[in-house]
Amino acid sequence: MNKLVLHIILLSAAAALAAQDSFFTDEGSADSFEFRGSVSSVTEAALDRDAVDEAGIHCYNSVYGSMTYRSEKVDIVLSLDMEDTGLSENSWAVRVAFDEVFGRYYFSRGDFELGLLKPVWGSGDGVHVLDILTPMNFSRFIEPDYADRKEPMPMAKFNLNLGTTSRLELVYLPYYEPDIYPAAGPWTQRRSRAMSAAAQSVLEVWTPLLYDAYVIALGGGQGLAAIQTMARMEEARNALVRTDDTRTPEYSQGALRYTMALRAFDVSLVAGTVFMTEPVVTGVDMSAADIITAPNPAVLDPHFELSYERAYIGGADAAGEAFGFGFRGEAAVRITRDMEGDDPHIPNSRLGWVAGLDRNFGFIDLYLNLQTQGEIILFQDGINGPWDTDYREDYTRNVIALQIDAKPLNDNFTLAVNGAYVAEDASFRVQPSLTHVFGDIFEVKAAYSMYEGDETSLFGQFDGNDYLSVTGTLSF
Amino acid sequence: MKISEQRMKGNMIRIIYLAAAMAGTAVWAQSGYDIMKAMDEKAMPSTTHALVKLELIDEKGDVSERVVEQWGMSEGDKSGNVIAFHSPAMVKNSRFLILSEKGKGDGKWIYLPALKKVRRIAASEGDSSFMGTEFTYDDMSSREIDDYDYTLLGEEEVDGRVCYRIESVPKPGTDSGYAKTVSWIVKDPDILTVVKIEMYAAGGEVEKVFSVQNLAQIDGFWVPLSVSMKNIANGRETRMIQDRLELNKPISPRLFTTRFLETGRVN
Repeated sequence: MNKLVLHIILLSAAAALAAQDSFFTDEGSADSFEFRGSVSSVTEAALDRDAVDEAGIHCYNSVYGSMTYRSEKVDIVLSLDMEDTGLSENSWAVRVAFDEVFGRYYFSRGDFELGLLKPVWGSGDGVHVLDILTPMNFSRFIEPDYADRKEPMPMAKFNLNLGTTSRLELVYLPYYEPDIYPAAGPWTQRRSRAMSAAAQSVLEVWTPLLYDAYVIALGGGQGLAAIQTMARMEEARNALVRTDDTRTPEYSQGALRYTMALRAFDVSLVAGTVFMTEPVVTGVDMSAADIITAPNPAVLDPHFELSYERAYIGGADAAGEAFGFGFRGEAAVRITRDMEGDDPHIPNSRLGWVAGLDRNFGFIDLYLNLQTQGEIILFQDGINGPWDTDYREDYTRNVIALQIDAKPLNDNFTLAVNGAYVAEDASFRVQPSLTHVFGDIFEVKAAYSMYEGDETSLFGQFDGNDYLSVTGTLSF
Repeated sequence: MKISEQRMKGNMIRIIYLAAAMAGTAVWAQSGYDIMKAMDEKAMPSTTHALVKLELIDEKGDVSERVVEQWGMSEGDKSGNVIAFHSPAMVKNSRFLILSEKGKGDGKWIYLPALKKVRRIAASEGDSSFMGTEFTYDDMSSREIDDYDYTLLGEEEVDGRVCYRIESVPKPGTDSGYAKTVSWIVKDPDILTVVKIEMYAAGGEVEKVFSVQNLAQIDGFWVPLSVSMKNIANGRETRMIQDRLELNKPISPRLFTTRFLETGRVN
């Protein structure tokens, strides 16, 4: 019932705001206040889930609100996401997160932004190798739109206007935040599941030994030692995976980007010092043989350590038109300390790229967008075996993405299919969808997401996650 | 009032807001090309700033409204236009920039808040609808007068005004969204502006009709205060009605930058 009341309030507020008249603004209008946002309700039916407790129909709702205050020289922006996580019928958990919170000060040659921001760098459509400033949230893998998967980061950003389409951006981030991956649930990645399984198997060896030590200590009248042993068992269960504290100045980042227009192309150059997005995983006391033969298992501390390696990035991107097509491309190289590629604990340097083209065909407003995203691990000769953090079957990955939109009836009704295919492991994702907009403020979208492939492949690991969804979004 | 000597290039936005240029240009020419050239060379305001209501009328007659703000500036052979959407909520804060330079074509960029970035619009997207209206991106683009062949078809009255009727056919190699257009241009040299255009598809049938409903003189310029674009093929129509208009008032050149598309204001 509470949910229903909330919905009525939000919808009423949205309708009232939507009814407000617009105004004739000056380009530098002073002391204005703007509020906008949306209310969404999603119903998902998991159709192919193996685990019974994860199958079924789920509903969750979210509210997005953005407030902007403008004075003569300053903008203040506050954007919030509130999501009813819909965990169960009886508990109503609401997650509130900042989308962006920042101030912007205008000076004669540009502006300065300070706060939690999530700018998008790179000319790709939803896939990038130059969008280096903020982490991605893969809690639902790639299901939300790209901008919604981005997490904001604290940063200071100078934007110097050098002409109509030329700009220099300088950005400093006081620390690093890694990408977010779920530790449990249907969208847990294979790598995380493998790490959990390995940790669990070590626990199965270690905890009986600890229990034996506990019993011996208790029997020997060493109560304190027994309590300490029990505490160790509890600690071990709760801290099997530990991530380096990256919220320190040691993990600060900086980057610059220069954008300009060259004839029919917009070109950007990017350089910076950032961190590799993939963690280096180090196992500590994770050998079952060592645990069994240890004289005192209570002094062991089995766990995985996740750390992140600094990288220096340089890259460029371009977007423009030629031969009737729109073209986009990004390329970036990340250089790490491991210049020979032979240090098993330091990731090798990598070269990544995005290339794409798109074209709109006037007939039924058909829009075609084809992109490929690739990455190659450099200095592969130095990788000596499975213990190297870079070891894998394929040192290149190419993901081909296709999007087709059509508006066969009118501009309010869109039929779309988007999909992605991994060339190396032959896995793919396909999502057909229908979208209808009512009255320019209410959108209904029905979509079916399908994952196929081997269980070790990028998309095949979610083979059991096919789902049908219906989303209603009211904008205000 | 400072009047720029900028040539009118046929930009559709200029047609919508400012197609009727100031009085005083005598037209002695009789050929279609000469009439178009005379209209092309008429003086234009150096800046425009307008608040425009868009009425999108579907095939059933249902109307939805959009409100946009437009700024335009011309200097020498260069011109810029920015359109910012104020409502409805779904398109609010979407912004569109066109930069034109005579002989070099147009650059077009759009900012959509949901994507959080500015995107260049390719020429191949010219056929697609501009933000749900019956105008296409091509309709919003400037055209070089020498890229078309013109034929004076005669004279005809439109809303009580005698007009030249001129056919424009794109020359081979010209990227045009239409096989040909027929324009009605007010013969009165004080007005000399387009009041109606029929746009023809490749099959020879009329695809769309652009017409001026309310033409008025403001600050010495003949300005269409209300225009419509009817799509004959799908039965839909877009009307543009000027709520407010300012001509030749100073505006910042920083409006015509990709940064303005992102922030919505200039420093």
